[in-house]
Amino acid sequence: MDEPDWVPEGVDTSIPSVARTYDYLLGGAHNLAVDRRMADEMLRVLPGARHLVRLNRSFLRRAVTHLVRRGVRQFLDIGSGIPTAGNVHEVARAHAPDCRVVYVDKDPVAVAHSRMLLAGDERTDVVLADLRDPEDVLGRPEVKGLLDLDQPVALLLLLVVHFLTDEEDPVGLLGRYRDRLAPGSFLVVSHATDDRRAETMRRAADTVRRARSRDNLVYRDRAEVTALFTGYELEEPGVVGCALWRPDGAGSMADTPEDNTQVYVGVGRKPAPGERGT
Amino acid sequence: MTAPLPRDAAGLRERVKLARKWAYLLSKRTYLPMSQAELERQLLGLVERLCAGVVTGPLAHQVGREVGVALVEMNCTLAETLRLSVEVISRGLLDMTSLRGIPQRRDRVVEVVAALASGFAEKLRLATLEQQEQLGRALHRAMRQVQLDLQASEARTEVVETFTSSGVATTDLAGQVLRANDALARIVDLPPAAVTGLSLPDLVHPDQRDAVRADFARLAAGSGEVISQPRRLLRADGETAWVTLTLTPLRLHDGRGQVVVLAEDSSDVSLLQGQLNHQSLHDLLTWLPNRQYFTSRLEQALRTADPATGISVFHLDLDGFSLITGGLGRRVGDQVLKTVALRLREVVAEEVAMVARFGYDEFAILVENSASTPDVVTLVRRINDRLSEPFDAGGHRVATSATIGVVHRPPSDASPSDLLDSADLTLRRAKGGGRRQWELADPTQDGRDRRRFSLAVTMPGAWEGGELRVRYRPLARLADSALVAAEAVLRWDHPKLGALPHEQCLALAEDTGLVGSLLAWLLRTACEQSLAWRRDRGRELPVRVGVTASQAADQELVGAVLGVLADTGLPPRLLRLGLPAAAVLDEDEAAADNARILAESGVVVEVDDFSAAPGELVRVAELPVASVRITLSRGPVPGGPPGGRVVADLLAVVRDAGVAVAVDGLSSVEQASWWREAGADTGSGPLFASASPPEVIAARLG
Repeated sequence: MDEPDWVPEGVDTSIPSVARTYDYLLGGAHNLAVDRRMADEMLRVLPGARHLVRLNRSFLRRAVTHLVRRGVRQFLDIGSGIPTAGNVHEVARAHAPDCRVVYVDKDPVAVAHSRMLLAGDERTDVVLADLRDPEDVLGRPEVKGLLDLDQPVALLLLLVVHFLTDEEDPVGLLGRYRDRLAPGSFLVVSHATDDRRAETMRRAADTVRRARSRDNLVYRDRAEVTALFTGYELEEPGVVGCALWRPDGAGSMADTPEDNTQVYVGVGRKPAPGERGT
Repeated sequence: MTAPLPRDAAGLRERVKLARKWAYLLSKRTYLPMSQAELERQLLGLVERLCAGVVTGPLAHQVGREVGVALVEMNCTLAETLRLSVEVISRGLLDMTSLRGIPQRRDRVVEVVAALASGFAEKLRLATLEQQEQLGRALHRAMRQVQLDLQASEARTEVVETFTSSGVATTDLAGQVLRANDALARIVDLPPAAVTGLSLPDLVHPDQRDAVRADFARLAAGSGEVISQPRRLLRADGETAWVTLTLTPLRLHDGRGQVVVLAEDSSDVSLLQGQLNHQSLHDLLTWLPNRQYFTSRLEQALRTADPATGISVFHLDLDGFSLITGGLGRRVGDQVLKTVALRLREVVAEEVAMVARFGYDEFAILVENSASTPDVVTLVRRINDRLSEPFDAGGHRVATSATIGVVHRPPSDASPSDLLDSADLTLRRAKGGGRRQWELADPTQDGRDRRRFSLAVTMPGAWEGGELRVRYRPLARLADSALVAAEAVLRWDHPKLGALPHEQCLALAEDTGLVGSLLAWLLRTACEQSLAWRRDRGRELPVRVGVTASQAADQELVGAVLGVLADTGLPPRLLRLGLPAAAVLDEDEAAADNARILAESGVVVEVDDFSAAPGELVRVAELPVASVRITLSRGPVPGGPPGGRVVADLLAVVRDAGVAVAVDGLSSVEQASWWREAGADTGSGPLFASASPPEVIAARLG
């Protein structure tokens, strides 16, 4: 294949991709040397990084399981990365085979990858789009074709909102999604924080920045992560450290308390108008 | 496949215990996409098979491999998980009481575990290869998509280049044309193939050629700006084409630079083409251009007219036209208007001129004057002479006359709408005098020229007479509004014109060559003032003096500054010298050298009118600059979102280089806090105080 003279950052293989770095930290091989270099540097600064991605993935599994039990059958996973082991549709269908899932990512390689892995699956689809443009995401034919936005949808935003700067107004942005979703819809968020180990986390963020990835980490505290659920009623136990959200076994936790709370998570439900909060 | 195990409860308990321990250890190390209960169930199955392998010797190897493969399939891929598994399985199997009686038990356990490791490694290798291949295919597809998008984008560009009436070319940094569209060839009247390879500046009128070369030199030097200027291009037929020439620098991935050139033909109505068709530009009765078309042409003429002769605008109103329509009917009226249109065009037929119909009985004429153009009085007379010749309309002999407002040689920076307003006002004044009157608008440009000239001439006397003063503007820290320095500025309290500000004083001084001594005086006054504040108020307050671009590059600057410091005894660190970014960044290193020498001497060097263009960022980091100043009314730096994020990022670059950031022209608290958030350190402008006598600053020193 001829390489084009110019490629966008997502396709430029000299720049690490967040999705592929994440895959490497989870033990996958869908990654390149440049991604592994960034991951290894991250591990040097933050040895618990593997635990963080593991716990986040475990939370995803528990949250999706919880939502299927709450009756949700439609999922919109934005910032889905490379859909390897334990993806939303696999977890959801283990409990309800009729679940439909649309994966959204702005990394063109991750999207091409997802399309290959999910080829032939009528109940999943993949969209190349940016979280920052709700109208675009929700207006895509793939989204409108597979998901009925008049029915409850679970919007999954795992380890992605912390790539939004304050100027991009995450609360306002999520509000634009919320306003388009039907009552009874859910929001699932996981978000890195520097409430603990501020210095370590700063160095971790520097690592990402130095790697010339376009994405910069913006840590937020518990109140700021809670504010993302404006207009939703938080499911028990509210916004908590990743390991503390309905843990179901040893895999839900790490041995170091910092690793258990380095990522805040929460699940919220959009009430019907006039519906009384619980 | 495996032999049945002894169905003893104690043995099962042992195997469950091993599976749980294994599950616990694995789930602490890696993500396994299942609940803990499911994981324990699956691992128990593996433990059962391993035990069977130990019991049934011939199966040991096969069972071990299968378990190793199963682990990888469960997403146990980290080396750590293999080490753990080997450890926990070896110990567990050896410790199991239910296996105690098996012959060669230890050898079988070793064999099973070794096969597990080998199965694990083999499966991991295959999985890795498969995933890498998948990734390769994904990259290929993504890249292919990019290529297709690129091809689509190129196709779009080509459509635009082919069908636009504007000239589009790509040149190298020296201005040599690498490719050009047919429209550019049409504009310069050359065969399309002949344009490529030419030097773009050579296509420009000789008068402007050096300016265009200088534009290219600026872009070649790394200026990221977009340069857009009205220019004249030479046509092969000897005519001149008026265009708006826009030069946009393009940085290629390999670091080479190119320039995209856009030549918008402004010789005709192409400014408005695309939005408007002929009908919307013309009056349907007389087929004269309408006000819109006229305004567009006027705008262009203002920019491109020969300054030696300028333009003239005539605004005409037919006298008593309502009597014609009222008495003779609308049809006759229409015929009269057509005749008037024709006659007006005849009057200016030998001029570069446009006749337009504005309203029912209002017309306008734009004349681009040349050396042979008759003077205004002659033209006005010719217009009314021609209009007053009786003609036949619908069986009636009719004659007309017009009252005329004239704007003669307006300044080239006048806005078309102001100019038309002025013409209209003049017309109304003329109508006050009755029929067939005309009046001339105040020739502003001449007056302005005269005033500036006389001002410059009288400046030295005014300085001697004490009309020139030094005033101080507070420079404040944005975090707490604390006063951090005072900027000394000139003010001329002109007895007739009022206060002339700093910039105008400097411009006038440069006109007369007074600038050197005026600057020295300003520096000396400021330094003495700083010492006075220290003496009277017990506080050191730095003073700041901004110099013009030509002063910044002047060989005398260093001597003048150091001389004043030596004479007054002010510590150099209390003097801040602001040099314009354009001068400091100039290829000619004169101003940069001055900056270096002054900084070495301890003077605080600052860069004014900073725009955060990439070239400036690099240069500022290289030079011993203490701070940069952004002036809000100038420069392309936006004053707030949405460009805000970019600004904050660029300011971060500046601050990382150890350079402080100042903002001038702040007028509101919101603005100040926005810039503080964006990373600015200090600010000045109307928000803090305008230029005031030294006592006002002293009062703030407490």
